[in-house]
Amino acid sequence: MLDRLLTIDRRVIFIIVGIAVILPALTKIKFPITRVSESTQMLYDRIDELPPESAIMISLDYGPSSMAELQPQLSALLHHCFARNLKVIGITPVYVDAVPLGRAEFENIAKKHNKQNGVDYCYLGYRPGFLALVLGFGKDIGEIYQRDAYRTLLTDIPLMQQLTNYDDIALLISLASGATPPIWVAYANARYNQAVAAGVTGVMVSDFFPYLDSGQMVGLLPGLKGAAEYEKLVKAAGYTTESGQGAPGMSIQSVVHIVLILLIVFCNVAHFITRRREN
Amino acid sequence: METLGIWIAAALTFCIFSFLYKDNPFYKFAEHLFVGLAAGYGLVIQAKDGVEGTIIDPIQSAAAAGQISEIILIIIPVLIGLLFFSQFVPNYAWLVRIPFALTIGYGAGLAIPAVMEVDIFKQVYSTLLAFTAFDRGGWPIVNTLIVFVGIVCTLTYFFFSVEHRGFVGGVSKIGIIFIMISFGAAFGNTVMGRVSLLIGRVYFLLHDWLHLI
Repeated sequence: MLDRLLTIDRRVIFIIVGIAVILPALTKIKFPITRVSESTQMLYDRIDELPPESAIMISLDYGPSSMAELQPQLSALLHHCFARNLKVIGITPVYVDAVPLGRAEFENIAKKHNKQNGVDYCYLGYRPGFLALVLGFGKDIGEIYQRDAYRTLLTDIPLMQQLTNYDDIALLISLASGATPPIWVAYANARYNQAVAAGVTGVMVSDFFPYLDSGQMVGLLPGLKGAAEYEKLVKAAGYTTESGQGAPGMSIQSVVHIVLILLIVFCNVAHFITRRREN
Repeated sequence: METLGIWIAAALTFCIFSFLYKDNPFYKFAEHLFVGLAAGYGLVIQAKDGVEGTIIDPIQSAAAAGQISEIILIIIPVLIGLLFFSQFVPNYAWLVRIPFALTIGYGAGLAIPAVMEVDIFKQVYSTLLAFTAFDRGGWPIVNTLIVFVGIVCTLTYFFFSVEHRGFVGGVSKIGIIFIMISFGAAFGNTVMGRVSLLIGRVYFLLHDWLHLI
């Protein structure tokens, strides 16, 4: 019996995991988020302490494949920024296919907070040459971007008329599915003293904690968990009444984790029992 | 139109998921479609935002302002960049060394000091600075000691100039434990990340497509 279970078809495991995702989603199972990570709290506090009208730049360094984790982070961050009357500039310097993702989310959240494109936020879109862009922003943003994602000249955008370079940006947040946050740290932070934070996928998060401990980053959102925590903070402060995708996602995640832990424990126990019998 | 897009996205999601059963023509179709679309879309955006935004717009702005030197400063890098294509003409293929040399020199010149500063000096400094936590007492001291012991033991594990026996062997074994813990944490995060992607797709199917949640 145990032997048969140990050689079970992997597709059965896929079905179990699939059910573990679909059932809690349909039944809308909810697990409370009892604790907010220190790294998430740091980013929230940093944004919350900024004076109104301060400018925040969000770099969307991810594509559609990582959207499930990073788009809820973007959504929660935008709710916080717009509710606090902060000016937000969006860029997509790495992934061309992130341009429509970011633009749609900016438009959607801005509409909910009655924010106006060009005045309260600006979406600049894509430019090739990531390193040149990171360094160029230290000198003049207008030299890198002549037009925004809607093809409007930057000189005609009221918000961009107030911003020249990193000196005018209070915080830069890189939402990344790749190795871009260290580049922002290396060039924007180390060279221009730009405050940098990041929101990253769960796969990468452990790589970035050293930057947080050393003060090179001022906050870090860890994957979907970070999105759920940020949503909780933003909602608790009354910045939005809307529930994002982070919290429900983490409830489903918890069920899947329990299933996976049970599978790991069961397989290990079965493995040791079989080995003992063989001996 | 939006509904049609959602139905197509749902169908393609099933095509991709069908690979979990086994490789099949539906998966191949979706895979090839994705690669083709991504390449085509990328090319158009690169041409529009890249060539137009990085070359044509700045030249037009400079021309409107009568800044000839600015125009020259844009045209020279463009010409150097075009030399990448010289490798397709055998007699002039050697010219490709110029943009390669510039790119490598520029990249290395920028990267080496940055990496030293960001990934070595700052990290060593912050590790040593952690000892100031001793004034605060309690858990900060424990955390500092764990980080310090972890760094020393892990570095010892990767120090191959001395045979790993006796004291050094013991220290390197502790290093392995730290490495394993970090692998475990990374694996846990990876599982969480991958499950998040599955949740994202299932949410799309149940919410956007079937309107069940």
